Parts: sequence; structure tokens; C-alpha cells
Amino acid sequence: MPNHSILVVDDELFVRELLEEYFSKLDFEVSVASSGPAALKMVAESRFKVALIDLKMSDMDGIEVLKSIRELDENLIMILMTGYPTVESSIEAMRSGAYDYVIKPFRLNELKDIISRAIKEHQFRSEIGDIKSRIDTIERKLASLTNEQDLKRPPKKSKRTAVTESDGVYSRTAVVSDSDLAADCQLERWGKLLKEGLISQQEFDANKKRILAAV
Amino acid sequence: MNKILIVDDELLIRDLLYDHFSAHDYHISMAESGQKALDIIGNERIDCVLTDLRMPDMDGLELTRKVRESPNRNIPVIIITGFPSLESAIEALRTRVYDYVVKPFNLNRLYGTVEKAIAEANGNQSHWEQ
Repeated sequence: MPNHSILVVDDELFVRELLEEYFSKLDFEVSVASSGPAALKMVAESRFKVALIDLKMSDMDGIEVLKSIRELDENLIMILMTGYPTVESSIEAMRSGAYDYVIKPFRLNELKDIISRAIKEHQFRSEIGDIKSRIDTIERKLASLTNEQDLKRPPKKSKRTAVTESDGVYSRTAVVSDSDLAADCQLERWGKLLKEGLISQQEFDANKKRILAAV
Repeated sequence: MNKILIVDDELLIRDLLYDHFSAHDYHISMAESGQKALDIIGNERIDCVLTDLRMPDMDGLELTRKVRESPNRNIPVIIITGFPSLESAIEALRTRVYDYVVKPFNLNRLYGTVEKAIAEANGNQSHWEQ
């Protein structure tokens, strides 16, 4: 598992060394911090996917560290470790958004499984974040295109016709309905998004199908 | 109006929660078992589930796991228990329970928790769907 960066925060040297050695051998990029403030400095300067945080540390407890890290990087997955588990601290961990609560002593291979799941969770959250920002960009673009078109675009003629009668003379005239115009505008906008590479051909085709079905 | 689902095998608790939350303008559905709760979740729009931990056929954690596997996986679930344990609290954290409330509980605080859970879920900002 290359390039998965994890941060170990523990005031016990033995735990830091053990986890650093174990996870480095598994090709993780491991950083260690011996205190809460040191961990916060590292999170502010580098990107990590997962942080393993000791619950009881002398200067700043694990829950406090977790909450402060959340302010710096909301996608970082945090796992609390403790040799002194209690119902209260596990509930507090849940309320603070911890991904897991691991009791010391732990089996390293079990911790490895938890970290692997946490990395998948991190990837999932990052993808959700990307999709949300892409939707925001598309919505902003659509809004600006709508404004542009309202000002510039002359109405297009529809291919539809209707037979009308006046003083006994029948003639065929073009009919441009509101829904035709709306569909034209929408198709043109989605076309621009496609051209600018903001959506895929597949997304364009799906939207085209939906718009035409509604006419 | 938001709708909550109250799941408890004890009628007394269901009634207590019903009275409190209906007075706060919530729509309420009630179930006396986990299976009935799942049936309701499959058929109605539910904004938050309040469930007892210990129930005879399906406990609150099993109910949460099944909700997480369903199309309605993002509904916030709050576990209520008179028998807290470290194991169940850690399991609750792992199944993404929104909160784990120990009886006897303060009704106003529980109301605040439900309000917060629904607000975060609506903004897709539950602490597990950030």
C-alpha cells in the first residue's frame, strides 16, 4: 500500500517506535508526534489520510487533539487508542467524530485492518468532496449561462407546425411552444458544459434524453 | 415537519417519547421491534431513529447495521440504553450511530440531540457524512 500517509500521536516512545516500524514495513508513509501541539503543527503543514491518536496524553488529551485536527482537515480519519477504556470516553469519541476506538494492547494485524478501512473511508470522503465541488462549479456555470442567454439569445423556430384557419383560408404555421424553447436553452447550456469539459459525453447524452423526454 | 421513528419494546418509553416529541411538532412513527422499524423505514420518509439498545428480536445495534445496509443508510440513529457497556458503545461508534444516550436521560437534551442530528443530516454534515 504505497503512499498512504499516516500520523501516529502518542507520548510513549515505545508505541511511536512500534507503530512507525510496523507500518513503514507495510509501505505506509509514517510520521510521528509526541504531543498534541506537535501533531497539530504537522497536520497544518502536511496532508495525512489517517491519524492514530492516544487518548491520554500529558499536555492535551486525544479528544481535544481530534477536535483541533478536525478544524484543520475535515477529511482526515482519526482513530483513538487507549489503555484506559471507559464507556464515557468511547461515547465522547463517537460524538467527536472518531472513526474507531482501539483498546491497548492491540494486535498489530487488527490495527492494520482498521487502518485499511480508514483509508478507504478517506478515499470515499475525498471523492464525495470532489463531486460536491464539481456540482458547485456546474451550478455556477449554469447560472451564468442562463443570465447570458436571457440577454443575448433570439428565440429559435421550432420544426413543429399547426394548421390554422382564417376567413375560410387554411394555412400551416410554425408553432414555438414554451417547452420547446426551454428545452433548446437547456440543451445549449449542457452542450457548452460538454464543450468546456465540465461534463462527460455520457452525462450530456443522459441530460439530453431527459430534456427531450420532457418536451 | 420532520418525522422520527421511536423503537422500543417497552410501551411506557414509547409513550413518554411520543408525548415529548409530538409536543415539539414532530410527526412520529412507533415500532415495538427492530423488524417493524425496518418495515416502516422502507415505506415512510423518516428523518431520525430513536431506538432502544436491548430488544428481544433484534437489538438497536443490529437495527442500525441493517439501516446502514439499506437505501436509507444516512438516517441518523440514536441509541438509548439503561445498560451501557464499553463493548456496545464501541460497536455503536463503529456502526456510525449518531449518539449513545444512557437512561435516565434528560428529555430536553435528547430533543436537542435529535434536532442537531436532523439538521446535520439535511446539510449532509453528519459527523460521518462530512
